[in-house]
Amino acid sequence: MSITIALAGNPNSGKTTLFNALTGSNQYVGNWPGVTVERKEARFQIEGEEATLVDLPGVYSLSPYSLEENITRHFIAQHAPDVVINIVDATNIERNLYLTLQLMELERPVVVALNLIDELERQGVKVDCRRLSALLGVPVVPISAKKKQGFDGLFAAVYQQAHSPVVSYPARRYDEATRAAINEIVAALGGLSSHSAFDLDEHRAHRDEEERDDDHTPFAEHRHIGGYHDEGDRDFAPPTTWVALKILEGDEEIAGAAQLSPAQKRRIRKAIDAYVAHGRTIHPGIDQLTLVVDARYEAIERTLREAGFPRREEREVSLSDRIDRVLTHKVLAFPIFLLLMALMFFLTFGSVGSTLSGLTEEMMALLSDGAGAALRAVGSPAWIRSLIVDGVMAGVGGVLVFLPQILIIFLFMSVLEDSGYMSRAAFITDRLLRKLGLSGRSFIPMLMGFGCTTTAVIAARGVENERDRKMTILLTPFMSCGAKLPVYALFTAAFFPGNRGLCVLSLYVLGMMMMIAVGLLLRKTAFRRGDTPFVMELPNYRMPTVKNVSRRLWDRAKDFLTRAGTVIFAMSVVVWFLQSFAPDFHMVADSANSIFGRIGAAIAPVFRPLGFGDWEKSVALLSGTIAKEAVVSTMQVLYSAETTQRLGEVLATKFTPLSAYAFLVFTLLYVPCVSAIAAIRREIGSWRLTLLSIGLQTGTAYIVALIVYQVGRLFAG
Amino acid sequence: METTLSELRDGERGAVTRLELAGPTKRRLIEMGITPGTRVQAMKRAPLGDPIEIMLRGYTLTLRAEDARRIFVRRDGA
Repeated sequence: MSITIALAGNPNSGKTTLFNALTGSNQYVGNWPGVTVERKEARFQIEGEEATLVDLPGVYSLSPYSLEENITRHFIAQHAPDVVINIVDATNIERNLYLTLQLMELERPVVVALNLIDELERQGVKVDCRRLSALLGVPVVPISAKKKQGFDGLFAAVYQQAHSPVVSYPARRYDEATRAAINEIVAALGGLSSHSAFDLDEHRAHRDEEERDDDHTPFAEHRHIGGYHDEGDRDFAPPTTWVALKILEGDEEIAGAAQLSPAQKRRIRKAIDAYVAHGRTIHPGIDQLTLVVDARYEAIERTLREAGFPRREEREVSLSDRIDRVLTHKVLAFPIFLLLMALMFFLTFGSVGSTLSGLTEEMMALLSDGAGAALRAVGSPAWIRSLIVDGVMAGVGGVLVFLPQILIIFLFMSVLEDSGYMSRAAFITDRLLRKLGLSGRSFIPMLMGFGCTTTAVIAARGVENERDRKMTILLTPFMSCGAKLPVYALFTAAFFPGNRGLCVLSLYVLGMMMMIAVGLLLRKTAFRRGDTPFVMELPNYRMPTVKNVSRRLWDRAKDFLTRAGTVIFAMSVVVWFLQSFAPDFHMVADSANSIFGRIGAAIAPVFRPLGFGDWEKSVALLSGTIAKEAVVSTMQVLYSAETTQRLGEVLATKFTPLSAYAFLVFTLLYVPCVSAIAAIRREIGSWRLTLLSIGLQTGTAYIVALIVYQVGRLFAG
Repeated sequence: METTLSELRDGERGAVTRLELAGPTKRRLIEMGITPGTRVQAMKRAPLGDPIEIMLRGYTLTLRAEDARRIFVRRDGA
């Protein structure tokens, strides 16, 4: 038999560290079905037995309000893992146990792994895990995920729970009024058979293997309410007590799914009214949800008191507090933040990053020359050589050069994240992004957009909230990326030699203004606010470990290489084909005659109102979708200009300063390169939103360039 | 005297009396432990004055001032 173990816990509780420590390198990283939240799984051995560990998203509760919470709730309720390991941060135990109680309410066998116990003991708190375990009714094991301590005890407890499970009913420790209300709702739901009648006051209940694995046994049916249809394709029968609790909380999804008769509804309504009326004698104006949440917290406080935990209202000034006094200081916070960002930018896109990218490029060139020579030597046809060298190697290689930069960014971001600074960055910049309906979490990825859209879109993974993350991905391409600089440089040198800096600056500012405008538009339409609120923890500063950081870098590199080998590979082949073949499928030497060239010629009239309706300019823009630098290189080929200077002279005869500026505006705003599109598609997880992104970009580009050109013409006469 | 969480000065303490919030925001905040009767302490504000950081139940939490304005507290010693 193989044991399925779910790993659940709050964000910042050490969940990832524990997962990595338990499983070593046998990880499978994928996505949860239908969504882009990462799903990690790993196999390992427990007491000689095969076990699969599933890493659930870090959540604070199991309310159905965020995607992460839904995933966790559904996995535990529907897939019924054999054991749930709940990692709890001992230094923040009161809040962490809130999730523990909710996990226990789902009546799966839970093992509490009390992490950071060493840190707590350093603060002089002695923890009696046996007492805590007896009070909670589930095994509590002290561990240190970072130091890999306490794993033997954890394995033993998990093994025990897998083979002779002990399920605890936390509601038995809730206050009398809450228990009475639950009992009444359970009765209204049809009750439980006499021998299993809602064991609120029974100390422990044992359920053996067969019942657990097969919900069709009569006993199991007594314990579950039938007919609950989840979003999944199969019936799922949650524990009746849990259903009662959810109804008492006012969870309409569950209440609706329980398919209540009018009589049942009346009886339940009466129970809830009585419960609320009683609660209001203590806290005027309180509602049913707050009462249930309060009942849980009250049970936690009592449990901790009985287990001998000191109630900590005061907290001594820690090292973290002292660091924060500087890093979130009223005056110093922003200069320090900007300094860090500048350093990250400099390392990524400046000397170090570009040197590494240059090396990668040279290596790719060597490889591609070698491949070309080898293919010639074996006498392969020209088109195969062209496909491999000009198509695949050029396309995939063009994306691979980003790898060093992406790794540097992620090195930086991992360190910022693991040290705890990322939360502070969000804390200080939140105010700035609020107007767009985003939070401080989006600031760093957006800033990265000035370097490279592809990198920035992937960096948006740091945005926890799904809706905010998608919106961040949609807005990032408006930040003018580094690859557009050669285009700006060429045109400003040719047309605005006296005002180059000002001209480029105006483009950057225009991009940001459009980002804000589109952000406001999205907020009013597709991304209306109102799902998850912004609350955030400022975790203690911790020294990032080499192990965690390198693991994350490796995951990212693997992910990127896989993508380069699949999506980018396919796209490169398609683009190569369009660029090398005429519509009658003959290979052409001059790309003007290719399908691409023909398309360029066909769409050229569309750009006439923008001031650049020649086919060469359209083809240049088209090839810019492969890589923005290609706008320049294509023009170089099409206008037969050997040097950039010569190209500038030619362009001076092909554009007016006004149409040149309109062209730059279009280049700034239109659809990002294929590598970025592939990243957007992957990270946003839907073609619909990817197409929306492409449409938004191109639409905005067209409209703004049109306005610039037409309004400019009025003034130019 | 009843005031709001956003009115507490850095370092001041109080006890939560009620939340005039609704929907997911309210749910998230009470599930993070801001229930009636809970003791809270204002810790610090972000450089731009918002969000604010509070301490409750032995841990620190940041929330936006617009939400904090709708969480009522009884200030200690008042």
